Amino acid sequence: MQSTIFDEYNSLKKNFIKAMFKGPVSQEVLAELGGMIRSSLSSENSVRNIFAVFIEMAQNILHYSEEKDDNGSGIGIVKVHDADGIVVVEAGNQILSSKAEGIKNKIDHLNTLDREGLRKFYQQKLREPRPDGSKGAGIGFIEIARKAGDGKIVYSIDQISDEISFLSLKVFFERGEK
Amino acid sequence: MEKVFIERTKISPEVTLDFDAGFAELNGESYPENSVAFYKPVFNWLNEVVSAKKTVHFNFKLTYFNTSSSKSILDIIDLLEQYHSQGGKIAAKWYYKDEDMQESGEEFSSEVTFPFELLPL
Repeated sequence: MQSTIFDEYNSLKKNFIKAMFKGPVSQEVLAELGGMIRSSLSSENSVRNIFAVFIEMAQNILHYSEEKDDNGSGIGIVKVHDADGIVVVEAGNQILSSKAEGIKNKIDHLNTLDREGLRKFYQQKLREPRPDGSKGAGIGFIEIARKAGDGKIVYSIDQISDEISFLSLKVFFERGEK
Repeated sequence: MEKVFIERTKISPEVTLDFDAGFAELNGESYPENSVAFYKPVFNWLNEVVSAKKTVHFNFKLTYFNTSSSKSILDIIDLLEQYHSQGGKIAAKWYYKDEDMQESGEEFSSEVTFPFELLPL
């Protein structure tokens, strides 16, 4: 039998998906999903950090995904799942292949820093001018690493074509009651 | 001069800008799509009160802000610091509800020379 929405539902349920969205991550979508994540994980002591990571990842997609809808909202995928005492926040979107190396170097560097190193790097970058034409502050990745349960960002970059690649980000939080 | 009041939304704080009283307050969460555009009225107001050489009372009552808003907040504080260095009178209060916001307040206040009080919300 061919796959049905029922199969997809069962698969998502079995994988403990708390929230998932694929499409244009408009500000409205981001606010609704953020609210959902917050209320469904309200008893978690790291809920503030999970929320902060989700917002930075979602706004990264909104502003920087190479794939956009007619309104200019970036298209991508975000997913939060919660199983075996671990909450995982993931996001993915298209990037220019020419930017892959820079992003790789940036995250690799962050993953070498400890908490104090990340704090200092954040403060230093915050004091630099906004990147040209950016709505962001260019410090989203640092914030994601700072808030991650273990201070690390797991990532991969898959090449789709010569021009386009796909960036996947993943961050872990250990469950713990407030 | 008219008082500016921007209502709170899910993604942006309530903003009060009172020129006559020299009073400004940000209250709520801040993760608008475009923080530069959102905070523009605050910078316009600051430029006016600075030109009029008014005493500024600035209250930060933020419970969460994203990185882009963080940059705008730093820009506000830098502008206040600049005003202070030119003899402007300022009293800022940073209210915090949790450790993250307390730590942020400490970071923002670390380089300022005008009165910047940290208070639990």
